[in-house]
Amino acid sequence: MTLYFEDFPAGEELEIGERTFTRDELARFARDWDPQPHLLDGERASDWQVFCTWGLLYVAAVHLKAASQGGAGVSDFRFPKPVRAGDRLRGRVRVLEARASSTKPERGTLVVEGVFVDGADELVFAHRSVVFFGRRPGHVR
Amino acid sequence: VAEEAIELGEWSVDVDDMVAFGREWDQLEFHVDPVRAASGPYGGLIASGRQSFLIWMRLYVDAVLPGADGPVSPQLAEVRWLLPVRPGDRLRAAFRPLEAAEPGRGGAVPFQGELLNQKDELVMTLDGRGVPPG
Repeated sequence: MTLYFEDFPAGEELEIGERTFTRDELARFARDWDPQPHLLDGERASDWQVFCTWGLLYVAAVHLKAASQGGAGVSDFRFPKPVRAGDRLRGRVRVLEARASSTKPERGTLVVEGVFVDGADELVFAHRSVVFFGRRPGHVR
Repeated sequence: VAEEAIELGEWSVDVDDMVAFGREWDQLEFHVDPVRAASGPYGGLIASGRQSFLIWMRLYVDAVLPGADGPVSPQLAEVRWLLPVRPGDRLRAAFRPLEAAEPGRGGAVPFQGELLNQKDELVMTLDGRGVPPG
């Protein structure tokens, strides 16, 4: 069953999965995308690997089951605690705002907060993301 | 007054790059399946926004590292994807300081990061504080 904009009301909160990085994964990402010397040994994660991995989980857990139309942007990045190889990250998403579009009746916009917490349940990453979903066919405006 | 933009470099993306990135990071059909993407919301394959983001970041890190003596990750307030990036696009990245840097090396300034296509259209902007390259 396909999910639509109407299936994600403000206040909805979902778990989107877990991820634990190996040193090899962290080192490979650093070599490919963020080759700063202090990241190349794979001990510590690039902030951008943490961000991209959150997006990967959100897409896999939610967007692939829905009429996803991608996103417009992200904001309000916070990285309160470094992520290291072996840390077990759990992803969550919460819908802050759900807006029907006045100019594009076929889709709606969500503002979501996306976070990772670590094994001690401490926040390691937070940001906001603006994403689009198709409206349920036959929706009444 | 905005300072002059500092060019960071160029990066081209073809179908294979987009599909390989999409399979690993963003499996929406308009990032991984050219055939199904044709009848999707963007009328064809487009790059994942995170791929555009990482291309800008890689070009920035390569440009700023030679003069840096510590971590250089910018603090970002916002990333906006303005236009789709399509196969064959030739992207160009720039760092536009919004204030002159303080005297002395290594100082972060407010900046706008820009990713443009071969038609000089802005496809992505970043806003934050970071060290100007060079």
